[in-house]
Amino acid sequence: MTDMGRGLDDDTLAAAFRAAVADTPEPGFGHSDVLAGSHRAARRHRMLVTGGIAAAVIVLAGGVTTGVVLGQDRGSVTSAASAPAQDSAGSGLAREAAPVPPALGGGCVNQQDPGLRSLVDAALPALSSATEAPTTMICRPGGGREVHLDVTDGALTGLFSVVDTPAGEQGPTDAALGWVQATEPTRSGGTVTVTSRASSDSGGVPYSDQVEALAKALAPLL
Amino acid sequence: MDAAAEQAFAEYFRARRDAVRRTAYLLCGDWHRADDHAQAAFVALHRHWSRIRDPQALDAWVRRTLVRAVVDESRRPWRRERFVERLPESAAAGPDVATRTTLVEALRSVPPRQRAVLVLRYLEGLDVAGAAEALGCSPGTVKSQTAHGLAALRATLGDSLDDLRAAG
Repeated sequence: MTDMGRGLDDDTLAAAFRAAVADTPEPGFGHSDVLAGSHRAARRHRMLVTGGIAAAVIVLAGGVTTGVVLGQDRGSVTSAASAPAQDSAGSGLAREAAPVPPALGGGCVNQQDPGLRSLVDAALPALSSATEAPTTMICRPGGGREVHLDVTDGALTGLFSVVDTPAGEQGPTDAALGWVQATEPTRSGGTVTVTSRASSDSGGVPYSDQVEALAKALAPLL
Repeated sequence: MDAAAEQAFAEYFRARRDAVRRTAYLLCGDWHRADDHAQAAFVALHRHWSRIRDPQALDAWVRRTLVRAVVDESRRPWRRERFVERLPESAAAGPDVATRTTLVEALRSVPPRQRAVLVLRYLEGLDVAGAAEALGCSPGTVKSQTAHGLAALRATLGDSLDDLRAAG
C-alpha cells in the first residue's frame, strides 16, 4: 500500500516527513496569546447568544402582537408565532417566519453559530442533544455561518454540518465517499448546505434520510 | 476554568505546541499559516478544556480540530490552494535543506485530504484507524486516499525520490 513503486517504504517515508520539519522556527505565539484568543472568543460567543435571544424575543413579540391586533379586527386569526405552518419537510417551522439575522456580516467568527443552531434544532429535534464538534475560528469576508455537530443516529455516528452561505459566495462543494449532502437556495439569495459524514467506525451515514429534508426546511428561513 | 485546570492546560500547551505546529506546517506548507492554525486549535482546546474529560483524548481532539480547519480553509474560494504540475526550482541550499523543501513543496501538489492522510500517517505515526478517526471517515477511505496521495507525491517528485530515499 505505501510502497511508491520504487521501494520507498513506510520507515523511509516517515523519516523524510520528520526531516522536513526538523528545522522548526521559533513559535509565533505563546500561552498568553492563546488565553487572550480564548477570552475574545468567549466574549463573542456571549454576544451572539445574547443577540440571538433578543432577536427571538422580538420575533415572538411581533407575532403575538400581530395575532392580537388581527384577532380584534377579524375575530380569529392565528399568528405565525403561535401556530407554525407545516412545511414539506414536516419540520413544524413556518415558511413565513422572519429569518434570524446573520451572525456577522463577515470577518473571523467561531464556526458554531448559536442562531443557526437553534433553527437546526427546531427543524430536526433529534439533533438538539448533539454536542458541538471541535472547530476553530474561521475567516469569512463575505459573511455566512455554520454549525458542526457530533451526532449519533442509533448505531451510526458521524459529523453533521450545516453551512449558510450568503448570496455571491461559494458554499461547500465536497461530495466525497461516506458523505450525504444537499444544497438548497435560501430566501435571501444564498445557499444552505447540509452534510452528514460517517465516522470511521460507523456502519453508515447518520441521518442520511434527513439531510435533504433539513436543507429544504431551513432554506425559507435563511 | 479553575487554577488547576489552567495549570494543566498550560502544561499541555508547552508539551505539545511545537508538535502541533509541525503537523500544521506539513498540512499547509507555510509556517505563518501553520502558527495561525495551531494557535486557533489551542484556543478552541482552551474553550473546551473542561468538557474533555479523558486526557488521552486531548491529542486526538487537537489533531481533529487542526486537520478540519486546514482542510476546510483549502476549500474556501478566497484561500483555495492552486495545485501545481511542476515544482518551482529548489532554493540553492545544502542537500538536506533542498530535500526538505522538495518534500514540502511536493506535498502542496497533493489534494488537501490526501495530504492530511499522509501527514497523519507518516509524521504523526497514526495507523489507518487513527487517521480515520482524525479525519472523520472510514478506514477504507484512508487506505484509498493514502494510495492516491502517494501516487500524487510520486508523480510530482519524480527523480527527486532518490534524494528523499537518501535523506530517509
